Amino acid sequence: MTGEPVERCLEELHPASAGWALSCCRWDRDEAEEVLQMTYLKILDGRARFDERSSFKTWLFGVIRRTAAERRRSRWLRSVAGLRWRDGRPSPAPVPTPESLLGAAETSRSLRAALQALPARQREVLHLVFYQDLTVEEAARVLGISLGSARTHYHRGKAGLQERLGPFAPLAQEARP
Amino acid sequence: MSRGDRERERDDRELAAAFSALRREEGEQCPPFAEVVRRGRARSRRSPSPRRPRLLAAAAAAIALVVLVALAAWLGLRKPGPPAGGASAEGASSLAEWRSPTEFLLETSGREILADPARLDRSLLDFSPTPPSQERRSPS
Repeated sequence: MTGEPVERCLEELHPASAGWALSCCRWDRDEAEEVLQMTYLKILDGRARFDERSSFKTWLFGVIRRTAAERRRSRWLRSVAGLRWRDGRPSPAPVPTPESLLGAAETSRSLRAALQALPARQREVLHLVFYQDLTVEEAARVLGISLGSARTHYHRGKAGLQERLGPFAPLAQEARP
Repeated sequence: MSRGDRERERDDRELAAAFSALRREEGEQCPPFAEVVRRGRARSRRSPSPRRPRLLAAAAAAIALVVLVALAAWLGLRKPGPPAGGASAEGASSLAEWRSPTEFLLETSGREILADPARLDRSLLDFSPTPPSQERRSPS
């Protein structure tokens, strides 16, 4: 799959991809957008090719996750080498935008805070299952881990969330439109 | 279905609802796809070549390797040589002049016979024996 069909698929999945990028970047909006830009360009320029071994969504999420990891590594290397200062453009700190501060509902804020406190793998599995509606098996494929391991992260993550949020009922009441 | 199962199912439903609220909220703040691609293209034109950090890393690795080799060579040169066996290293101008302190032990009677190969036209009696006083020398 190349060219226009890829672009159409990317556009369809864009809101879901943006949510996944946010989760991969621990809700740092600037970083998540940069990761998304890099991922889209990689795919549109043919540097990352869909091999049709899984669904397009699973593959795309894998690329986003790897790009976020690459970006974190390169940022770390730059900070170690002191290049950040030489380039004259300090890396953007995660500054919440006014609209995000005002618009964030209490439910989402507490859920986000609880998710951020979880280990990365647990957070990722829960996000893929509950936010992206993937099965645990598909989540395992995105993360490149075994199904058994994904199930363990899923159960531990849920227990961790429950511990941090208390019973889920108040959350759900707020969440219902 | 047991009570535990029902509770788990309810928790899952409620968790899914909370995630769905989060998805709605984040979806509202998400910039359009075309805008993300456009900004990405503009950023890739502005930013330096991605090869630069790799070249810098390779240069740093090469410098580190050179420093390590130089350090290893310097440490190797500084290693003390084997013990001189009693003779002073400064005294011996070359290895050829060096004499073992136990060399006198090799001076045995009749060593003249062993020093040269046997010849048919020569008798053992032709050798003049070393006087007994010179045969055994004290190392001092």
